[in-house]
Amino acid sequence: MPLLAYLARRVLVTIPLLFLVTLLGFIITYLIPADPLAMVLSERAMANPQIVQAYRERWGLDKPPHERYLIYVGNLIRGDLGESIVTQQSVSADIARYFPATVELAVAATLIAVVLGVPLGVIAAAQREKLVDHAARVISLIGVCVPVFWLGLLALSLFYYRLQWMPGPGRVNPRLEPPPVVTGLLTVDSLLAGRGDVFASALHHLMLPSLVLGAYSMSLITRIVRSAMIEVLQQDYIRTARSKGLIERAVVVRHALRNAALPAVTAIGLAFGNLMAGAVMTETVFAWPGIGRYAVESAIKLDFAPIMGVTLLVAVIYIAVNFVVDVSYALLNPRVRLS
Amino acid sequence: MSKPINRFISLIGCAVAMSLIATACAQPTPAVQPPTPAQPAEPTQPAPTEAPAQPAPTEAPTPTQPAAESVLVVGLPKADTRTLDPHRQYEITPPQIMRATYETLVTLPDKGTTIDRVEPLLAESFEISDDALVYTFKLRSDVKFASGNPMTAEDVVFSFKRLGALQDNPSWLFNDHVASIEATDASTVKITLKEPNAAFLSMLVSPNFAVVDSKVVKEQGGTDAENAKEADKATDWLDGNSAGTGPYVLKEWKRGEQVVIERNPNYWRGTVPFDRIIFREIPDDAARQQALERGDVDIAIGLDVDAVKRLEGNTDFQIIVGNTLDMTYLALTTNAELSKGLADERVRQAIKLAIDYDGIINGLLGGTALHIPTIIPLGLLGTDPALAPQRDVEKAKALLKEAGYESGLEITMVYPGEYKLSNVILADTLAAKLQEDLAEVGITLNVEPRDPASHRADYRGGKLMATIADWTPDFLDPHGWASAFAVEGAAAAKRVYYANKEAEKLALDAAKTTDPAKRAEAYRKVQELILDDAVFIGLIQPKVQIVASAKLKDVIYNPVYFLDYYFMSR
Repeated sequence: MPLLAYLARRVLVTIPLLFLVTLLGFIITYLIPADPLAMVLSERAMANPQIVQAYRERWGLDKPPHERYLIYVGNLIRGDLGESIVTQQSVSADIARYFPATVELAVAATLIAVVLGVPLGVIAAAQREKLVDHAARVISLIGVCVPVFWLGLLALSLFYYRLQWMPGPGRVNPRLEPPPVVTGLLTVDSLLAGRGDVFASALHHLMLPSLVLGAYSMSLITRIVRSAMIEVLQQDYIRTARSKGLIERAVVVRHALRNAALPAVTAIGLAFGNLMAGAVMTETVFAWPGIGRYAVESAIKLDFAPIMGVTLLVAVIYIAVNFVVDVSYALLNPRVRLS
Repeated sequence: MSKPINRFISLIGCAVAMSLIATACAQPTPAVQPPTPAQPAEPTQPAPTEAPAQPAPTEAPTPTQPAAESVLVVGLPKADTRTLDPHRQYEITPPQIMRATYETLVTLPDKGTTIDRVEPLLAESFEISDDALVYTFKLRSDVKFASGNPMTAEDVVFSFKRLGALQDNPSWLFNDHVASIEATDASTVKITLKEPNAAFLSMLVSPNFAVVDSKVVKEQGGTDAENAKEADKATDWLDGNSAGTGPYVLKEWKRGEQVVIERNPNYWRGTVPFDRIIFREIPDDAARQQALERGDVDIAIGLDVDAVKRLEGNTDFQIIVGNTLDMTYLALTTNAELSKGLADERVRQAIKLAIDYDGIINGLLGGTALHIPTIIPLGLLGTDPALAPQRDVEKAKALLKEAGYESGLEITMVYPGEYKLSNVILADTLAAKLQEDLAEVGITLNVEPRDPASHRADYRGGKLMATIADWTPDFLDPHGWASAFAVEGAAAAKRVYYANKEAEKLALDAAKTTDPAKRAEAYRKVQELILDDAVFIGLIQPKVQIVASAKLKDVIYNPVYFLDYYFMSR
């Protein structure tokens, strides 16, 4: 079971890495010369030593930093991510509340990026220097160089405001009764509850932001697939395949694409990680109540536990994505060994 | 691949991108046909009879036929709501939601447009002893909570005591002032203060003094006992439900997304026109504006000045302008260890005279602010726009010369970077303007942006030479400002080491007087003294601009609740 052993080894390496992340996060937060209480307590409350003391004790701010860190790590091992000073809610509850919205957006964006990006790259390579190729390159160039918040505003202004094809900001029409929360993914929950109206509305709301968020990844994938395909198409075995009389489509799809897929997988993996960063902007423009906005708001308020919680979450996602990419490499190309 | 083609493609790509950018940046011109509002989903429901000034329980106007749901949607910028527990909330966004779900003993008259006096709401009448020490409230007998429970004096006592006992942000409103509170009978509440305070009545308008259904809150783990700080468990429940006497009840709060309130079927003043009100967060200004123009929201709060300007003259909308009690000011230290120059009163006065106030208000803010003289916002007792200093460059130069700084001096101003002061002006913009103004009289103002959290910490710690900051009201009486700025060692005064015994005495005595005329005079004098000392220089008191669908009636701004949804109808 080389895959299982590999997985176990990777997880073992991950643990110290995550602790390093918490340590760095803690040090950075600690170095900011400001009092988190000042961000949550009013002037009048700050003037009251009783209230200040109560808050300090409750959030362990009266303890020296190393002790606070050890307490944090101790709680973390028990699966407790701590409590936000601002919302006074547990961070795991907050993450459970906001993360599904981001997952829904990121998955939709990745799907769009792959579904549009891969064929576009393949066609561009096969039709090299023809009109399709030029168009694909212009589109992917725009996608890579245009900032996502701006693209979001443009999309809203055009498709929502002017053309009225798309619904406005938010995850669903607020006039609809929401389905009971099961997964937190509105599209899934509405189906589980048998609510076609909510599903349609949620899907409709999802289209524009995921297209905007996926634009960068799509462009990246298009470019990488295109150049990988061009390289592969010049290889000898392709010439062999062609000389054997295979039709062009079979050559491109069956022989070339499979070999060009390796760099594309990396690109998709990277793109998924990048979505987390792009999500902050997209979520603000589209009033999407996701983890990106939660992270930014917590950072502004110096709310330590949520900042750390989100940092860890993102770290875990990156690690997991990397793992999946490595495994896919091995599956796609038997010459790659997992070690 | 040939290089030139590559470059050509890049050029095309960039050109397309640039043209897209240009299209998006161009403001949609008025020539664009006004967006058709989304189909009228909600037929107008018969509006209730005008709310009577002296509210009497009216018969609920029952719709003759089942009408479609009447829903009002409010577009909010990023909300700062931490909790919807009325005795804990102390942020900017919650009061309008609190006002729709809870009520207080007293309120502002004239639908909230008048702010210098208060009148009864849940109380039928009140009496204040001549020494401003004992407040007695006779309660209305016809008030029911949303649960159907009648409101009694016990509910009032429980609510106020809980506010104090929770030891949270707003608890000082009770703890600093109240010595005892008791229900002398089922409909009378007697509050005795620790010391005479004429401002206490206006504090009771604050949504923190909401009267809650003590039975329901206790059932949910609420308590007004001494140890409520640890023992009270009702907040979680109150974050998703309400227990008040207000016209609406809280249905749902999705953090970072929306708050939904629904009509209270047991409302004692009769039925309100909307079945539901949805407060949606749309953090991006442009997206919120588009939602308003598309008709997806009925009211947009916090649009930027340019957006509001563009909607002016559009008959589909009404623009509601109101004076806030927020303010942005320049603070100068009096501590010679921080700045020898600024410790000299003449230098501070020169700075006061060097500032181009008109330029800030008209140039930077398009006239959407008042020029606040010093610390007490205009509109409150004892304020007068005529007190506001005017620019006088020559006099400023003369004062600097007199102080021995003819050849100039250098001052460092630390400010919160990328932060919108009073929610209207980017601190960076204001700092650059001040830098320019002071340069004209020979003062070099070094500006240093900081992240807002560390700026606040340093300013509170009295470590800054000069800064710009904002202040939001705690309650409606000038005492709120005078007690923080004019009293040595008080919250604001200590940051610049300000001490003026005369101003302090006037400020403290004014609160113990019940005669409004005498109080007004005292607060005017306090402002004159602070202006002479030139430690807190008022810059702007912003106006709030709310854009609402022209179909809505009685969208009225007031600085305590923001918007009072009881009065609003379609």
